[in-house]
Amino acid sequence: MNCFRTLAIKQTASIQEIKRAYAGKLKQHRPDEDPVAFQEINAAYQSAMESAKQRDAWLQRKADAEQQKQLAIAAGNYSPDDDVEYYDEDEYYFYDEDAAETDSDEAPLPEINDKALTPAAEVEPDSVIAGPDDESQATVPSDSDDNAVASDDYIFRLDDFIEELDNISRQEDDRLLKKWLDDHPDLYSLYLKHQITEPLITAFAQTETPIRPPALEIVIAFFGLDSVSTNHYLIDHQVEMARQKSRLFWHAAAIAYHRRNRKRNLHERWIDQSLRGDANRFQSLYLLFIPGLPSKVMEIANESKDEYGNLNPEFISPPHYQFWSEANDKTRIVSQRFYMALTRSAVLTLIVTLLLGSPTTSAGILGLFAGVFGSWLSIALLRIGNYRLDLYVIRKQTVDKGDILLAIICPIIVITSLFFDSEVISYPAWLLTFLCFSLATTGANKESRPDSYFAFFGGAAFFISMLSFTFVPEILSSSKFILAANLAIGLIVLHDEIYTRIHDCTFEETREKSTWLFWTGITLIILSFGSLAIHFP
Amino acid sequence: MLVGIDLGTTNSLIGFFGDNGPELIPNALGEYLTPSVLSVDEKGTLLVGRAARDRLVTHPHGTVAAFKRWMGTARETRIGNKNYRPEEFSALVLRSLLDDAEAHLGEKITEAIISVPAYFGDAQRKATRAAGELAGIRVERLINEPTAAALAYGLEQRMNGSTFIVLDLGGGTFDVSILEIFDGVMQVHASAGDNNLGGEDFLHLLIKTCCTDLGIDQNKIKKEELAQIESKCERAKKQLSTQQEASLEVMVNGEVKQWTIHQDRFESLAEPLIQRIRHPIERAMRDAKLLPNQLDEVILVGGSSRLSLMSKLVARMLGRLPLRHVDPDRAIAMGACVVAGMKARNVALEEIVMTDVCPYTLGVEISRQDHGKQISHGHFSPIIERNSTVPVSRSSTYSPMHEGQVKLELNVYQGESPLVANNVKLGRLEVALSPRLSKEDNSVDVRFTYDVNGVLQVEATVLATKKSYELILQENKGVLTDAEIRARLESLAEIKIHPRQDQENIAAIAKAERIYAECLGQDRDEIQHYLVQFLGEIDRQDRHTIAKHREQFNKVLADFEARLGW
Repeated sequence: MNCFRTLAIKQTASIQEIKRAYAGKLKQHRPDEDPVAFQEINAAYQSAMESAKQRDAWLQRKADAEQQKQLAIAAGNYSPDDDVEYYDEDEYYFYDEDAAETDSDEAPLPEINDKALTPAAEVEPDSVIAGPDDESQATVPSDSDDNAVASDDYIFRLDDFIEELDNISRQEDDRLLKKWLDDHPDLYSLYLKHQITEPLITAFAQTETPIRPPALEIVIAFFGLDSVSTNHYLIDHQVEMARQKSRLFWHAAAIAYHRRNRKRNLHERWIDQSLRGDANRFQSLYLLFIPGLPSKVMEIANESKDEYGNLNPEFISPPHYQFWSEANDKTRIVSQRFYMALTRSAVLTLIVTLLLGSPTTSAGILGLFAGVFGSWLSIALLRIGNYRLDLYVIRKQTVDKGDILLAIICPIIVITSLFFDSEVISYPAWLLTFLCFSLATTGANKESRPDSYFAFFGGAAFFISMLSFTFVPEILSSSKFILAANLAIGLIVLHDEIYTRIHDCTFEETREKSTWLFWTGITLIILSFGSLAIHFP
Repeated sequence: MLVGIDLGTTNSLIGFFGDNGPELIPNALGEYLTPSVLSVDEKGTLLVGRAARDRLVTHPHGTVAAFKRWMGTARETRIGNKNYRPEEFSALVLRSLLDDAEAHLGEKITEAIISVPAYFGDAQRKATRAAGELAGIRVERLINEPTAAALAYGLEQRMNGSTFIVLDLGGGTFDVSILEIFDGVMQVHASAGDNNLGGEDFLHLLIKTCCTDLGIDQNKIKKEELAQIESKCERAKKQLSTQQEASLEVMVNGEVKQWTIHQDRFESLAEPLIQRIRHPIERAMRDAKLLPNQLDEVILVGGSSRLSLMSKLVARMLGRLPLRHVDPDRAIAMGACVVAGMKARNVALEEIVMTDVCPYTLGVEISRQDHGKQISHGHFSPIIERNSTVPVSRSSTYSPMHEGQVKLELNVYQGESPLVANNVKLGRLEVALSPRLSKEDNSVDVRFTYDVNGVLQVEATVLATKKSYELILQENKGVLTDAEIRARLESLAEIKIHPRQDQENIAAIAKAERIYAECLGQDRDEIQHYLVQFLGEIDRQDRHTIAKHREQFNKVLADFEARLGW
């Protein structure tokens, strides 16, 4: 080992010898004179001491095991099966009397896994037994000898201590708990406190009825296990386990309490029913359709899960949970396609109508729309491979509110246009206007190229029509007006995209600088609608 | 000549390492302990020491004590007609000590070793050094008080190959250190403490209880009367260490009130303070990975360790009774002298090498991202763990949180909590990054170097560009900059302090005035009579006769105190 080499001693050196070597080296390289060398020597000293301590502990255990064996043989109880592995031969195989004498240069020796040798745990974990009755609070081993710590006059009983701790923590007064711990006369003795730290935290890590998280934190702080420097690796692990157990148990309990006592609104009650499997078809469809509700179902379902991801069978039935996870599965969303098909085909229809000039009747337009929509949707469904027309609702985050509006308003306007026909208010025109306005409010999805272009064209058309209308009012019902209007909308919607392309800068920088384009478009719209209003008697 | 100084909250001492070992230097009054109290008289001249402490009772507005607690802060206190910072107060005390030393040794002193509590942070250590500079000396080294105490015991006992714990309960601070001596090496294993726990706290507890019991509102009575109560409670506190009961009489608003306190009641009232004492002891033992049975000795130093509840607590916690045979008030100063001797390479001490540890964990603030991609801020990432042997230099690498970051902010913290909100911020360093590089390429290597004097240097290097930044911890308002020190040096030089010759007379008068203020009725007339007599003699006589009269006067005062049972 390098540390031994630095100190110029053998690996078999005793602790005394290590200290002496360190002292000698230190006098040659004092900390204030030669800090760099000192740090090396000090680090070597610390490693050498660690390794020597472990070796000594191992040797001690080996000696103890030997002694036990001899005793057993003398008493006639010995059998080879009883050989308890108090030590692991492999860990210290380098400690071969002959091999250790040779220079360490020859054989590269493995690093000692210092986690493998632990200070002996006073309580074996598998002896912790949970009480048979539901009321049991103490869960440490009932074997009195193992957990009793002798302290001169009397025996400190760990399980009694834990029971009392439990009782006090249930009173939900953390200051009282802290005071009780601080005042506990037995725990003044550092020796005793140290003896019970590990068994205590192990008990907490394995109990089925943990104490509340705040109470646990107080106990952890009291035993000094809460600072940022590491304690022993194993103890850190137990502390984490204890915290987790407590959190899970009390989180679930809090949820259960919440559920029993909190007033739940209509949606939440329906969601609960649906998760349990008691909801009727209408409720399911409602939950499915309304944007945001399916993801809420998942939220509520996930609340009842524990940290390992297990469902609480009391509240959720697995098949229904499965249904709702699939409903929220983005990759399988059909309705996303549905809404997109609906809105985009509307735009496409109207653009085609305007460019080609036909069909001009509402029925014609409706027919064209139906055709485009139908084909769009079929292609989308074919691509997904899902022929079922179960309508899964999109997650709240991916659906644009504008799309929803359109999906509702579009059919209404198209249908009413069948019954009303007026020169002044040309429904296709208004439809298109409305369409583009809603595209503007959605803020077209910048990542999707086709979306942007659609928006752009619509916006462009609107813009131009607005412009021309403002200055040439006769063309109020002209399709050019509509085109202009759409152009304006496009400007509004894509202002930052345009700016970014022109200036080749980052998106964040554009946001601030391109707003003038945005406001130009807004102004134009206001002007246009203003002049529209004027021209209406 | 290198001197060793114990700059304590309540008392300060100075000494050197002579041929026979550490030797303390007496002050103008012939005492080794100089109270760390400053007072300004009617003419604007400054008094340091016992006279000033007596004036705490008679002239509380112009007197200040226990300013060690304010070191490291920017607190300004006004006495006389000037504002002083804590460093200046300490500097004045140091100056007084140094004058005593120069008179005793007959040579000018230019450098000293000063003791500080082991738990003193960066700002407080800097303030102590500043105080030294303001006093006109170079602070050769700051030595941790428990280490000094251990050295004092170590020398007297020549313990070889033993591990011991030093519990230092002074006027304002509590320090715990665990040390080991072997083969001429003194190694510190762990250090812990509480910067705001000391004898003063027990005193305030007594004062509060006394006032509550007697129905006195501390805010409503005159400052002189409050000072009187404080002084008497101080005495009572000392009595409780040796007796079961202590009683006192105070005069408030012309009324005489009597109060008695029993030791048991005092101990039960002091419960919260006892809990605060427990905590650092446990932490130090835990950090040193020692059990009480592995300790060879327990040493108590610091005046307040005389409290009986300290030895009781030690017995309960560590299962043994502590050592106290070196005068607890002097132990630290003796240790500082030992260090002075070592530094000067005095031949007798060649063979001892000392190591020390840094008592705090030092690190930076980081943000963490867990599996759920949730980012949480305000975590503490330690770079130097507490109780690492100093000097120590460690580094860690950190990378920016997001792509395209232009700078990385390093907030340096000291403390033990996993969240920085509960730790102390030492400073801040900004490192410029190149936004074009990826997160990994933009990582920054942060190196903390903590030297033997407890000064922290932070160096941050951007791995890609190899550009490095160093932290100058000047943001801490509690620390004086060099320019400020120079400015204050000038203003301090203008302050007049009573020359040494006059100090004894002044001390005697101050003592008389204090006794006058504290006693009642007929006794007052008596004191006044003696005082007037003495004042007259000073005016009339020459120096030698005055000295004789002064001796007599002091004897009278001492008898008086004894008679009143003080």
